[in-house]
Amino acid sequence: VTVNAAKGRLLGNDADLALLRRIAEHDEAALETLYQRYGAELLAALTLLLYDRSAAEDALQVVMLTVWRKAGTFRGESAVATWLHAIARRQAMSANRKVSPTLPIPDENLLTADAPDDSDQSDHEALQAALRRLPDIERRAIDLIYAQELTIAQAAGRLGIPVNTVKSRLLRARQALRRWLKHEDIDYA
Amino acid sequence: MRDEFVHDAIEPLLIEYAAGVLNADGRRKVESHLMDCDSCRHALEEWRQIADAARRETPSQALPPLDWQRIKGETPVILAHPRGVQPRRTLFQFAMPAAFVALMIGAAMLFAMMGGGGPSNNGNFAAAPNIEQRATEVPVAQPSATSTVSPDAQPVFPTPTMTVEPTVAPPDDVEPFNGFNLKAIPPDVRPVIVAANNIENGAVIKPHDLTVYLIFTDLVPEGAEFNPEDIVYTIARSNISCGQILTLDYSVTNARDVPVGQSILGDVQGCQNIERTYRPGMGGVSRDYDGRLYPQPVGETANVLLFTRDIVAGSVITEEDVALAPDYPIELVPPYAATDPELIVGRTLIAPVLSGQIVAFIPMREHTNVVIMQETVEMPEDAQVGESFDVYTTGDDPETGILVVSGAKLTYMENGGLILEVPQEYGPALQELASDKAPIQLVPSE
Repeated sequence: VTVNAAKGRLLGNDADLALLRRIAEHDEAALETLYQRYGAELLAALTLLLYDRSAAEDALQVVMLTVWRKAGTFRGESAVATWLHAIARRQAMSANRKVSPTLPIPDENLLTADAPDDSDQSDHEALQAALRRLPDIERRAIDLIYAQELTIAQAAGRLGIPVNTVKSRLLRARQALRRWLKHEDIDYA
Repeated sequence: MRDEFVHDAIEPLLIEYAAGVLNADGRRKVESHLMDCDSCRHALEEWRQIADAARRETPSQALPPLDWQRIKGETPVILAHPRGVQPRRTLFQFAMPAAFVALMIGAAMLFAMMGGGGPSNNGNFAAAPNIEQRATEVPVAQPSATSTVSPDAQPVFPTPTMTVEPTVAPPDDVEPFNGFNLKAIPPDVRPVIVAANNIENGAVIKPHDLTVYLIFTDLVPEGAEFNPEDIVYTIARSNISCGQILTLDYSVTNARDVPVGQSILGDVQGCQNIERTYRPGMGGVSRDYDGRLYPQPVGETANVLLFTRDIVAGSVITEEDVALAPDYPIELVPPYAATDPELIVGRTLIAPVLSGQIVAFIPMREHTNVVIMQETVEMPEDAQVGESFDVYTTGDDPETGILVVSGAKLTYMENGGLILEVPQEYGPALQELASDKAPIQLVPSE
């Protein structure tokens, strides 16, 4: 997480709105600032939605292009971050249907994978593989909180769903992942 | 009971604690609770493992720099080629004599000095020209997906490469919803989105399919989406009846936020006279993450005009020459496509068209330069830079040759090469003819 991103979160939505207003007047520096603030998390979200890093990078440029052109039409009914993620989501859907007639299908072997063996490395891999197989909304919530370091409330805003839904989805995800989690007795002394 | 209450309250804090985003107050609460709660310690350890896995899954990588060229619309993005129209070969796929390459480089430098001449892409659907602008434009043909030319047949005129607006957001003039001031809503009610039409499974949900209702908060189903922008232009995952509240179906694995209906309300006013403007399932079938099949959306459509017969350049267009084609896939509609026959009838064509081609305007103010080797060109000996010419090809004289474009301006003529300034849409096609060394004839324009 960059300093800029952390600063952006502290500054909150008012600062974002000010940026959008400047972008609407075609202030290039403002778009760069917004990009530094949200680019990383948008790229992560797009990568999850598109299953492909380079397609996500391309989609991210289109998202920023859309922001550049549409900043003036933002009606302020949601947080700026929510709006950005909504644009990203729409872009991902259209990229999915344009680029690939069929989406990648997970390896059947992974779905029926045996319980993980003892080595640390394969534990990690098995857990990551399990993470990849979570429903999108759960996986994106986990990514927003743990990889992008957002709070539950912020993640709910990004996903455009109620906070309680995020909580219940996270609990469901942990339930689904339990099989791949280590259950040693942990000494907290 | 009390224990359960405490666990319920502490679990979200554990999630944020493991992420390191919890505030100091919350951290103290968690730490004191962990002292004497085994199950929460286990839960926290599990969240930490999930956090580690999530961080490994999404390694922080450097952001690519912003593509300003693209953002400012300086790079045309080619997204779609009409069916049956092959992408044009580029200049560099042809073997070129060294002299020609040198000429190209020289020409490029010349363009730079002249301050422009490169293609400038205006490809923005939203910026379709208004009527005043159209008065200065001339209708010409665009390649059509429904053209009946056989694949072997050489088109009369090389169809230009089509460039379309890279974003696929709904057009600007479609307001998904009237402004909705969330702050003005009383605390015990919440807006929900209600279907105003019957929406078939697999259909693209259009703005006019939705309406907003205020209902008591405790009646709001889980996952009820209150941001219309998240729902319009997504795909319905089930048959949705008029009057149902739209929710995101979280119970469906990897549903990608696909809305489904949830029956709460009765009939909604306006559910009669259901207007079907979508074509369910016409976009083909795709597989989602779980390998299940689901219909692809058709996407946006537009009404366009098509030419009904082959017409030679210079003809005045009559009412019988064009026909309205509704619901044309928007990816295949060129910018500046004409939709109103009245604006077309009575105008003069500057290039020949084929039956089935989409009627579109070419903004005459956008030009591009085409480099041609003089040895392939037949032109009047007294031709001067600055004069305008009609460009003919594959014929010995204008009587048998085919008019490619009229009014091309000669802007450079030296060292065995010349440069013609032509409407931007014709640039790639003419350049390809030139690099194919097709015989080209220039005849002074009237």
